[in-house]
Amino acid sequence: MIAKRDLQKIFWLLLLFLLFIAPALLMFWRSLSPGAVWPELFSGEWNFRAWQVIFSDGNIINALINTVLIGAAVVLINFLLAVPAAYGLARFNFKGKPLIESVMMMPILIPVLAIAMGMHITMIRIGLTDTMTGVILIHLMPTLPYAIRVMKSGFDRLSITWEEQSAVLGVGRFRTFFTTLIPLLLPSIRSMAVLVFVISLSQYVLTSIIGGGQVSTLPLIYYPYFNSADSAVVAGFSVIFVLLPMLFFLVFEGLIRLYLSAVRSA
Amino acid sequence: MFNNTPLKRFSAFGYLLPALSVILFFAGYGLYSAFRNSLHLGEERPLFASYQELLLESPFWESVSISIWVAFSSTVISLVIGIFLTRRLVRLFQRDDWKFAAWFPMLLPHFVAAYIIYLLFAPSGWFSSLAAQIGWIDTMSQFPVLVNDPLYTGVIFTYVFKEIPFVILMMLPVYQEMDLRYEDVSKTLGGSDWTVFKTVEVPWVMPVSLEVFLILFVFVLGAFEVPALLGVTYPKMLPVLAYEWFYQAAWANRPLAQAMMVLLSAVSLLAAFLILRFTYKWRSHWAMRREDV
Amino acid sequence: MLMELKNASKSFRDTEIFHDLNLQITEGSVMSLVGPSGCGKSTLLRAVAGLTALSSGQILIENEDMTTVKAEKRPVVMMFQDPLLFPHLTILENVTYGLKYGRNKVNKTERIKRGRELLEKVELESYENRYPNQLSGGQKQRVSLARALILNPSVILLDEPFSSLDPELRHSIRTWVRSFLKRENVTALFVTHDREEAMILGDRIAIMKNGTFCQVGSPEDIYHHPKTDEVADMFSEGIIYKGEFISSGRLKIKTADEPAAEETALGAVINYRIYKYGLPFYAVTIEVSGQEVMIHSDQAWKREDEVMIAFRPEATNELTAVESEK
Repeated sequence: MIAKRDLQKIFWLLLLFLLFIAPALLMFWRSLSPGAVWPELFSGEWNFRAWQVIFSDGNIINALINTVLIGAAVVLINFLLAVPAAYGLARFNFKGKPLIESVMMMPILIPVLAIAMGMHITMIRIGLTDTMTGVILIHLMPTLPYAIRVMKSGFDRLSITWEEQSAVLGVGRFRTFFTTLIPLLLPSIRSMAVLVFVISLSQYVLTSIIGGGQVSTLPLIYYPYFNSADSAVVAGFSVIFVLLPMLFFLVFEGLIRLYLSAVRSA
Repeated sequence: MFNNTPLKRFSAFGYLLPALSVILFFAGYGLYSAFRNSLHLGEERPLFASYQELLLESPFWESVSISIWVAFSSTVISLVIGIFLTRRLVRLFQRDDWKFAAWFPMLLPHFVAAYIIYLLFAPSGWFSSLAAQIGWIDTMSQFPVLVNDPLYTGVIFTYVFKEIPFVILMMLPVYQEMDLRYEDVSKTLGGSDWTVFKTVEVPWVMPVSLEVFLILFVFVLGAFEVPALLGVTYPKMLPVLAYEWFYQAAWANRPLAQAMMVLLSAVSLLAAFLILRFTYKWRSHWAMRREDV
Repeated sequence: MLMELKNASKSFRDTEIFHDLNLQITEGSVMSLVGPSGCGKSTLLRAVAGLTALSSGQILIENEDMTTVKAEKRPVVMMFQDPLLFPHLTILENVTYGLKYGRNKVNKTERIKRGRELLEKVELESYENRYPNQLSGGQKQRVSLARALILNPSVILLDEPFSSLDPELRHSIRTWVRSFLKRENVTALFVTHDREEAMILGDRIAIMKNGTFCQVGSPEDIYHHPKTDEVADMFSEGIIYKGEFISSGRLKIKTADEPAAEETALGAVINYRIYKYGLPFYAVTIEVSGQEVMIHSDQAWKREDEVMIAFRPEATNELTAVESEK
């Protein structure tokens, strides 16, 4: 006999699955099975033709590499900027703190398009347009406020006594940060990295304006593909965008393991 | 070591400086130069000519209304559904294992979500096929136009699909931290479900809901990616129009595009200021009342 | 003198936390610091640890001035209310944390050897490869103690280390810690708001209120000879009569006609009776002063009984003049 509560749980999980995951699975199936003709819901045949097309396209491979490099660099720079900023906001009280906090949220309160359009000429002057560096820098705008927010709530949840405990055990601040704070903040660091990577992966218009078409990333090739007749290829292309963050997450998790064991054996 | 001496205050700025200078350089200086570029400095035309032209230009107002329609409806729908799901699921599940399912769309870029909506709701899409299978329609053209339609239904669907998880992500900690004992107190004192909702849940949830509303509304107003795929040529949403002007006629329309973006930024910042001020007041007001209890 | 405070004062903004404190702790002794919450005792402990700076005054440890030395460079270790074991490290790695990253680094073999020694001392040698979440609250505090003592600190500071434990565990671990500290000849400064705990652990006790020490001395001395009415109130049991403190042990409950001529007798009312340590005790309220006190009596009294509280002033040569501040 199943309790009413369990039935309710099953119902809600099923609903969540149908709403949020099933559509992505449909897309995945479409990349393997292009055959369905209206009004057919599913066709039985399937093959890897679309994936062969995608992976034999040099442009896509090149864009894929660029996208991953840009995403990884954006995550790294976000970490370097957001962790100290979040520490400063979480651990110190000073006059004008609300103002500084709002300024740090500014890039998500105004359209990034405005920033990109405004910076375009300036970035041409300092030679940052049409370069990976320029694209990486402009990707900081839609990501940094979220990174700071996630890391700040991480620090807020972490009692300052951990740092004090480490200090009274004779360990300096710098070492405390690497041996204690980073491991304790891992949940926040993990969400920050995935969130930032996905946002960077989603940028079309910033990359297009600052990269000037010279820096080719996956979204830039995706747009022209969108209306192409070969629906299996578009579907497969879309699936890549879902797989990349997952792959990134796995690699990142591996790096974390390496880091932790390095900290312990050092 | 952890004192609030003047030296410490100085070092707080040391921690903040790198991030702050990057943000000020790009967002601050970027906005400033967008504003400068939108003016006609040292030209024969009046300084604010592009703003005049913009405000008298009819496609601009058409874009304003369609943008507000899309931003408002998608934000409200996401908020309502997202909050409903959160409060239901938090009470049903003690552990939050379910959240992976709800957060999955966060992993999708907006344009991929747009493609999924296209796959489902296009005239040749999955729901159209389903309708035909059931026998409701006989030809594709009988299926209502839900993508690339002048009401931007597909765009709204995409945003709702993408933003519900964001709402859940933001609201979940709020509901988890909400002290359910207040609800019990209110109930034992004879409060109806409605009073309980009004006096316990709303005050607790309101500030974050408004902040989420602000972030989403402003984001949808300024985002290019989805309407560029699922929109129509007329009326265009503001960012799509601005992007078009930005590259049109050998950059001649750039001041116009920048003027539009400056106006949009100004309105967004004003809305942010008002909403954040309101939530701040709301919080301190209710914090006081909580202490009275 | 192992540790010494000289005119130590601390203010935060305009609020004075404590001022002009002088204290001396001899080697191998435990000093208990008792006081109500907000009296400044925890801040004092943090100042000794170096986690907060003194506004004026000095902290000397083994005759060296530590006042401006950073926390990580002081030969003191502090234990907090929570055990704060690093969750990503095993028990052994937690214990050797300070040896690995701290001031005096020690090579790995030596580290492991000393870590195991300490774990053995706190009777947790079989747990070295477990993680903190697999230990009970009391075990965690013992690991935390081992982690502190492995550094051979001159002084160990204990900030209510038992307050996060449930009452039963509390009882057993404080006795254990007491004998452990004595066996290892550790010098310690122990902060608590619990009178009993202060007596169990402390060789000497400092009573603190409103940022000053009201009295410093041995537990017996403070219990029997409180110097001020506040100390009597916080630490002792008895009544104050005409500026003198009379310990509860000297008081007798009698009927109105019983007191002898040489005895002082005060009218009182019986409130209730409890049993403790095999004996009945009565809570009585003295009519003239309104003071409530617990008195042992073998006679049976009922609630609301009107009685006399009698004592012999001249017989109690231990009486101490109390400074009336009120």
